[in-house]
Amino acid sequence: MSDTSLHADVEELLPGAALEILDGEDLARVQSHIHTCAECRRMLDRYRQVVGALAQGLPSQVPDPARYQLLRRRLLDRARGASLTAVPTSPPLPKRRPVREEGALTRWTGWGVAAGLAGLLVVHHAIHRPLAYGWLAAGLLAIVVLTLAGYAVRQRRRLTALQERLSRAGGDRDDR
Amino acid sequence: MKTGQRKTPPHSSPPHHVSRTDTGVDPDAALLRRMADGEEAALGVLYDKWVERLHTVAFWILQDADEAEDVVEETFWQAWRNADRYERVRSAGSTWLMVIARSRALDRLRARRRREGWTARAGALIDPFTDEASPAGETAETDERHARLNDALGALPEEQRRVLELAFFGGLSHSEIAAKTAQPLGTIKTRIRLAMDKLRQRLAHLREQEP
Repeated sequence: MSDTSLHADVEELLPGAALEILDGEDLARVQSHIHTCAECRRMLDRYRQVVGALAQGLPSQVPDPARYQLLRRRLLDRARGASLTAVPTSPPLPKRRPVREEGALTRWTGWGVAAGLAGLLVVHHAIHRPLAYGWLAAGLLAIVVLTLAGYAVRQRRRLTALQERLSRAGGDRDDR
Repeated sequence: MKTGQRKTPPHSSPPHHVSRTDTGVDPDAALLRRMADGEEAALGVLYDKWVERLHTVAFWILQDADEAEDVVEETFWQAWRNADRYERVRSAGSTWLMVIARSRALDRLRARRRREGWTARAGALIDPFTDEASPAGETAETDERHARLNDALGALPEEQRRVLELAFFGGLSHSEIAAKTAQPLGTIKTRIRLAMDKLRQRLAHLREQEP
């Protein structure tokens, strides 16, 4: 197909393109041609203005004011969120190790120590009966206290490290 | 997309109430420019100005208020995200919005048609331009616009008007309209082109205007 006949062919299709009703080959032909033909682009814009004028001339349908106020708020919140996420920020914080893994280690270590000590106590109880139950209770209590103390120390270290990373990240942002 | 390019919203933007006649500038284009700069307030202004009109467009195509609401949201969100792609030399800001809204509404209509069988909806096209009663809540300006559009459409031969309605409200392709009206494909293409050319000439004074 020559350029002239292609141009004439596409011209015929421009109203359909503006109405967005083209498909298949017609659509492909128009899309490829308008990239290279300023005249057809101008004509397409003019037909689109007709589509806009038709839309603007439709008899009004008044939307529900309450729903549209909610929609307005939602849109603005969404836009605000998009803006915030798009603001350049400091580099992402170093990837945190999975909490579950770290917690699990602490948890299983504590349980392991407790189970071991409980086992020793059971063996001791089996050999040296009758056991003084006061000492047994004290032993168990000591195990619990030691486990909790270890856990608290570990958490404190993690918190301190996190605070340091946050203050470093804040400093970087201020510098920018 | 402009994600990552947003700037701090400028606070010295021109007031939105400046009309085209005052400055020769399309106020909607100015709002879209502010939106492109990341100013949410401009989106709010554009929303207040056009929400009813966009709802109207979506409603007449979809005949469903809930779906029209979804279309309105999609339209404004698309406008917000793509405001930097709007080219003021190619169309008025309002035209850009109308075209987006109609396009989103047609997407939904076509999806619905695929689910339900296309003839059901296409056969039940409603023609808002031939409504006897003037809708409540019209301003004098939109009333006048409606009347002029009605005149322009009324001047079209019946067969041209019919195919144009099937295309505009139903989003039917040339071949679908040909099948529906039992007319040759070439005839349909010609009728649509003639109808659009006549409207283009008659509606020249309505284009690029405020609602």
